[in-house]
Amino acid sequence: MRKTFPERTALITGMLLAVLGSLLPCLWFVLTSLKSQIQVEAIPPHWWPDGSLAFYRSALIDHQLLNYVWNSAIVASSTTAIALVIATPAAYALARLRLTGTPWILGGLLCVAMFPHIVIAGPVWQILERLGGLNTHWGLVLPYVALTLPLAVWILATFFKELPPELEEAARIDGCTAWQALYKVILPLAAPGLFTAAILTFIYAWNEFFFALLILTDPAQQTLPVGIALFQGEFTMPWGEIAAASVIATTPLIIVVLLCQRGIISGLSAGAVKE
Amino acid sequence: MAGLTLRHIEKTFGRTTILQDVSLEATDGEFVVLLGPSGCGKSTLLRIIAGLEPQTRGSVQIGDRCVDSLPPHDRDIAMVFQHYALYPHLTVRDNLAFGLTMRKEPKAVIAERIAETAALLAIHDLLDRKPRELSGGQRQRVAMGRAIVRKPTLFLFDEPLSNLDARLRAAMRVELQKLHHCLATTTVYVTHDQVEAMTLGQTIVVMNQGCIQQIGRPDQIYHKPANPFVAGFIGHPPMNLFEGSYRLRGRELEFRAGTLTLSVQTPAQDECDAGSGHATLGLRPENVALDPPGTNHLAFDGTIDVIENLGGDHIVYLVVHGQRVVARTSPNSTRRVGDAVTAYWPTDALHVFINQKRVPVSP
Repeated sequence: MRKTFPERTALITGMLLAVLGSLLPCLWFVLTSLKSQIQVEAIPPHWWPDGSLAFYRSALIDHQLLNYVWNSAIVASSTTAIALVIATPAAYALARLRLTGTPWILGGLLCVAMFPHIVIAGPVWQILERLGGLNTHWGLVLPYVALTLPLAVWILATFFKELPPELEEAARIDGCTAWQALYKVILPLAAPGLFTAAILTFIYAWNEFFFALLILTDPAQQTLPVGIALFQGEFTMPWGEIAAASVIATTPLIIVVLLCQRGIISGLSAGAVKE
Repeated sequence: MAGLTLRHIEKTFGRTTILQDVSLEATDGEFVVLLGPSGCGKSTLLRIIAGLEPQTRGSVQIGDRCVDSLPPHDRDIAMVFQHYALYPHLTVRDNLAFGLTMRKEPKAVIAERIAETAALLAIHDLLDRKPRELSGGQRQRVAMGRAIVRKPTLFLFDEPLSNLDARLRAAMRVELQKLHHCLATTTVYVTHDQVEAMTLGQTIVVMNQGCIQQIGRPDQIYHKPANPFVAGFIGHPPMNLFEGSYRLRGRELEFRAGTLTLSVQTPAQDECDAGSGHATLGLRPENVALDPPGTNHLAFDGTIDVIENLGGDHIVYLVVHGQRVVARTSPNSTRRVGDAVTAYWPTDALHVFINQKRVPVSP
C-alpha cells in the first residue's frame, strides 16, 4: 500500500512530534547538567551549555550519588530475578494445566496489579515493621516483587500459550521430566517473553518512588529516585546537581533496556510446527 | 523389540466417552494402522499408548512390561507428531541428539547413530540447519529421524503425512514402507487417510466413535467389511449402500429397498434370527458392470445421471429403481448422460449386513 504525499507528511510530522515531546525533558536535563551555576539561573535562559562538569562532580562527591546507584541496582536486580523465578513456573502452570479456575486466577492477578499504591501503603508498612523490614533492601524488594508479579505472569503466560504443547510432549517422550521440558525446550523459546518481563520489572523497580520513600528513611539505604528528590534543601533547589544525577540515573537503565532488547527477537519459534 | 497389547482401554472426559473397551494386540515388528474419521478417538488411543494421557480404565503392555504407571520417557517409545514438533532453537543434529543426550549415551555412540540415521533418511546435508530453514518434507524427515535415532521398541506416528502435499505424501508413503521393512520395529500409525492405511498397514484397525469396528489385514477390511460403517468408510468412491428390509425363506434371503428387490443365498441363518427386519446391502462401484460379465449376476435397468471422467476410469452415477448407484468402469465414449443402461451386479460381490453385522452370502 503506497501512501500519498499528504498522508506521508502527516505521519512523519506526527511521529516527529511524539518523539520530540518525549525527548524534550530528557534533552533539557542533559543540557542543564552540563551548564555552570550562573548559566542555570540566568534569565533569559542560556540554550547552549558551556560543558562544565561541576554538577557531576558535586552530585557524585558531595551528594554521594554512587551509593544510591548501588542501592537501586541491588533492589532492581533482586526484584527482577525473584519475580521471574516465581512468575515462570506460575505462568507455565496457568498456560498449560487444565484447571477450572485459570481465568479467575489470571483476572484476580490483573485486579491486584490495578490497586492504587496508596491503598496498600499502610498495611505494607505495618507488615514490614513487624517483620523488621523497614530501612532494608529486602523490605523494599518484597512489595516490589508482589506488585510486579501479576504483569510478569501475564506476559509469560501469553508467551507459553503460543508455544505448541507438542514440543513438550516430544521432549517428554525424548526423556525429559516436566521440569526438564520446561527449562530445556520451553524457556529457550519463550526467551522474548522472559526479556520483556525482565525489562518491565527492572524499569518499575528502578523508577519506583512512593514505596521507596515510605520504607527507606535511612539515607544509606535509599534508592536513586528518593535520593535525588532529597537533594533539595530547605531553602535551596540544586537544579544542576539534580539534572546531573538524573543523567547518571538514566544511563544504566538505557543500557539494560538496550541489552534486553536484543533478546526480543520475534519468530524465534519458527520452524517448530507447521504454521 | 516387542509387541504391544491393549486390554479394555476406556477413556472418559467428564461425561464424554472418548474410547470404549478397546483391546488390541500387535505382534513384534507389526505395522498397525489406526484408521477412522476425525474425532473417533484414534489419536487419544495413541497418546494413551505414549503415556501422554492416562486411560480411565484398562492397561497398556509393551513387550512383556505393563507400562501403565510409567511416564512417557520410561516407555521406550518414539513418536512422530502431525505438526513435526521439532525443537526450533536446536540444529537438526541437536534435534536428533536430544533424546540420546537425555539418556546419557556416550558422545561417540550419539555421533555414530546420527550418522546412521542421516544416511538412512538422506538428511546429512541438513544436519547443521535450524528447523525454520527446512521445507515441510525435510522437517518431516527430521521428525522421523528423531524417532529412528533412538532405536525404540515401539514407533508411534500421529498422522505424520497429513501436512504434506499430495505428491510428497505419496513419496513419503513409499519411503515409510521401505523404512519399516528395514527397521522392523513395531509401529502404530494413526491416519484418517484410507490410502495410507491400505498401503502401509499389515493390520488395519478401523475405529468409529471410540469403538473398534474391525481389525484385519487390508484385503480383509476391503473385501469382507464387518459392518456398514467399515464398508462405507473404506474404498473410493465409497461402496454403494442400500438401506432396506429382508425376509428369510429357507436359505434364500430376499432384500427389498423401495422397488429394488433381489434375493441371495445365505449359508448362515443364526445372524438373521428374526427371519425379517432391517438390512443393508452393499456393492462396490468397481463391481457394478455396464457390460454383461461372465459370472452369476443380477441385472437392473437404470439411467445414467452423471459421468465423471478420471482419464483411466469413468465414474458413472446411475439411477436404478429410484436408488443412486455409482459404477466405476473403463472409459467408454459411447455412453451419454440420460442413456438407458443395464447394470450388472455379480452376486458374489454383494455384501449383506443385518443388525449392523456382516452376513455371509453365497452365489
